Amino acid sequence: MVENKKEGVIIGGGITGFSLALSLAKRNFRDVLILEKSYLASGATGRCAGGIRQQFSCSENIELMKISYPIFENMDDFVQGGYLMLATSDEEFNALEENVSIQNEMGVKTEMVTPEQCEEISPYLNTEGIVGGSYNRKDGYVDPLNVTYDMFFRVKKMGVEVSTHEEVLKVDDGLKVVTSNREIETEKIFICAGAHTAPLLRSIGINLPNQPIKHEILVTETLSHFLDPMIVMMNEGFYAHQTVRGEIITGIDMRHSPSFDVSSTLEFLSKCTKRLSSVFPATRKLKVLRQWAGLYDVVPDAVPVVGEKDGIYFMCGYSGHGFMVAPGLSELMADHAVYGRRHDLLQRLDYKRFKEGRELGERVVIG
Amino acid sequence: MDKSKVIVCRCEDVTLKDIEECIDAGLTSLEEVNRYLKCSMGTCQGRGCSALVEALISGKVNGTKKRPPSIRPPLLPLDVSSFRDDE
Repeated sequence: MVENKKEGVIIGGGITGFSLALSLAKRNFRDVLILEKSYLASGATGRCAGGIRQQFSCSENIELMKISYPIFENMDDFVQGGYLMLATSDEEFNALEENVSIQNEMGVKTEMVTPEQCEEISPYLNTEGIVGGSYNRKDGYVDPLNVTYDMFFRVKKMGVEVSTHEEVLKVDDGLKVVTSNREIETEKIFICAGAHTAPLLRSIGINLPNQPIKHEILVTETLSHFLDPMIVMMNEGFYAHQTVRGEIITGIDMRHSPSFDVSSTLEFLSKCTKRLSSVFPATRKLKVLRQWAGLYDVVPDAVPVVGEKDGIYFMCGYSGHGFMVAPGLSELMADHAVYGRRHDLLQRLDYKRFKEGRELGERVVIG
Repeated sequence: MDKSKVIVCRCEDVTLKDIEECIDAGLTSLEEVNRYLKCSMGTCQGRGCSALVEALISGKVNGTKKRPPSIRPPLLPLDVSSFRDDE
């Protein structure tokens, strides 16, 4: 018989759902069910590039990353090859400098680098047109699928139940979750469904400004290691990095209109490969193996959105940074939900900020 | 039979033992097994092993939802420089 009572229900089987389940389980809150409408990490988590960085312009994001970092640093396969953010105009260079001074003030050791230093950091990089950049050697990446599936194995051992291919149709104020197969009564609901969070909240009277925006990405065949850092070009939001498997993962902003569509486009394939081959001329004869797309859950100020109403908690609005901020944010949410301790950061990230004129502002959104 | 010596995915050297352990650990769909073990993510993009992995899953898991995995472009590997005007 299917059990229809749980202490907590988490909606969403991606990085946020599993990080939160781990954080809750560490606080002995383990009678939890995770509901995923498709397969595990089928949404934005499994589609993202896995970048982890502290190079943000908004102090809230930097603070969140300071909480997330130790969690990533504990993972064996976290590769800290650095992030090299490149400017091709004085305006971009000045913006990077401004970001770096905010980061330095908060104890994050990012430095400004010259084109010559960029070449030393990444010898195959074409530095033509580059006026300089910012570099943090502690930034890096980790395989988002391995991380999420390892969290799945861990929470399962701790007694958390996980149900895949079960879609949540509705959440109601009476703390009831209606899925495609059943109704579940619970004491706390946690909505961690990325871009699908805002639509679920409408039935309980919360209207968020979130918009789902498609971002595309592609991967090449593998080749010997040649690239340490994640390379970011501030214009057109281009990025490329090489994984430990040897493949290059790269993307560029296409400015798609809001939609839940995640189909791939030829325009992206063309634009992104052209850019990759000019940034790294050595990749010209490399084969592209696969392209796909995922959703950024975008809010006007590009800073995560959290909230709680009558036992229903939610975390969303990551605007492209969910994978890296989720572990830290989950720790704060778990403290709030289990111990009733609400970290000051949760107050600043609260969804009411949009109505109360307390909007924040993140400039460094890539991809 | 030594299952650690039976290669199922030749691009990524994924063995029968890896796949069976993965299914036993709770990853019970082709999408999940592929994403955890990286089988079908190599040069052949699963043309060699997808059907084998799927058969292994349906042999171990009752009532798996059978559906073809999503096909992602490009259909054949393509040079990074394909779209350049100077090529």
